[in-house]
Amino acid sequence: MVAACSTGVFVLDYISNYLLASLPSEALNLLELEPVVLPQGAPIFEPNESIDRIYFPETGMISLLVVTSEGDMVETAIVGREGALGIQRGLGRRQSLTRATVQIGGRFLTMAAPKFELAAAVSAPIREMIVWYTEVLWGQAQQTAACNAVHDASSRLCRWLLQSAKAVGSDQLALTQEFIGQMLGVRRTTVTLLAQHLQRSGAIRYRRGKISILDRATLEACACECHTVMQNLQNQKLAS
Amino acid sequence: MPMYYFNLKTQEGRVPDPDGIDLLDDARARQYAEQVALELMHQREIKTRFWRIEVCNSERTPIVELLFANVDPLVANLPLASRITVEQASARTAGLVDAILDTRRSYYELRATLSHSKGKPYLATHDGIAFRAPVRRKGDSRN
Repeated sequence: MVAACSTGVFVLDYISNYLLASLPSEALNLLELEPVVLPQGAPIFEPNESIDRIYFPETGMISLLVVTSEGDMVETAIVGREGALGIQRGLGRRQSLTRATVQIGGRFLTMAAPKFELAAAVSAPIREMIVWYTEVLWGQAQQTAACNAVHDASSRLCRWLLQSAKAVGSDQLALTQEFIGQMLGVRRTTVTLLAQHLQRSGAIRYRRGKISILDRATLEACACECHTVMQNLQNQKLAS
Repeated sequence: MPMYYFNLKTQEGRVPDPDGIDLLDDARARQYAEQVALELMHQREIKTRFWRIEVCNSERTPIVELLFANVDPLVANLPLASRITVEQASARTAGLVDAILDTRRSYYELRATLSHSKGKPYLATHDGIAFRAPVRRKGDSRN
C-alpha cells in the first residue's frame, strides 16, 4: 500500500511486494518508488528494448513472453508480488530479453532505472536481492520450459491458476480464455472445455473473463508437480 | 460466419462449450475440433482415447462426433491391425460410457417420477441436467 503525505511525496506504509518487504529499512529508504496502476494488456517491454524502469507488482501480474516470427507467444515466466520486473538493471545497463505485458491489472511500485542502479551500487542487500531474484526467475523459466514440453494442458492450467493466484494474492482472477489460451499455447475452446471440466469438479467457478478458485486442494491435486517445485524455489529464496 | 460449438464427452459426462466460435463452414469446424482434441489429449493420450468432441452447428444440433483415438498421432503410427484394434476398442468404450450415462439418467428420471407420485420433493443433477419432482401444494389435484 502507498499513501500520499502532505508534501506530495509518496511514502510506504505497508508493502505488499515480498521482495521489497525482505529489504532492511535503510535499503528500502534508498528506493524512490512511485505507485502506478496498470490495466490488463498494458505493454511494458519489447524484446531488446532498454530497461528504463523497474516494476514491483503489488496486486497485478506481469507475463514474460517469447514472441515467434509468426506472432505466436509463449509465456516463460510470471512476475507477481513475489518479484520484480527489470530488476537486473540495478547491476548496469540491460535490455529486456522478452516481451513483458501486464496480464492481470493492478497496483505496481515503479522506479527509474538509473536511480535504482545508484541505490544498488551503495547497498549490499539490494544487490543481493537482485542476484537471488534473478536466480528464482531463471529457475521458473527452466521449470516452465520443461512443463510446456511434458505436461498435459489440464495439469498446466491448474498449475498456472495456482501460480497466478499466488502472484496477485487473490483467488479471483480476471482472465479471458483468449489470454489463458495464449499462455498455455492452446485454442480458446480448449481452455473453455478444460475450465468447464474443472468447474464440474468444484475446484473453480468459471464465468467469461473471471475465474474464482473455490477448492485449492482439488486444484493442487490436478496440477503438475511444477507448481510445488516453483513454490519451493521462491520459498527457499525468501527464507534464505 | 456461422457459429459452432464443441462439446466434450468424457467418462464423467458431457462438458458443454457455452461460448462457441465463428468458423467458415463444417469442414473448418471439423479441422478445428481435431486441433482441440489434439490439445486436450497431448501427454495423456491413453487416458483420453475414448473421449469425443461433439461438433454442433449454430442451432446446437450435433453434426459430427470425433473420437480421440481416430486423430491420435500415436495410434496413427501403429501397424494397421493394431491401429484398428485400438480404434475399435476406444469406440466400444465410448459406447459403453454412453450406455452407463443413459442408465444413470433413466435412474434419476425414475426416482423423480416415483417421488412425484408420492407427493414428495426430489431434486438431483446429473451430467448438467436437473431432475426434479415438483412439490404438490394443498388442494392441488394434478397428478
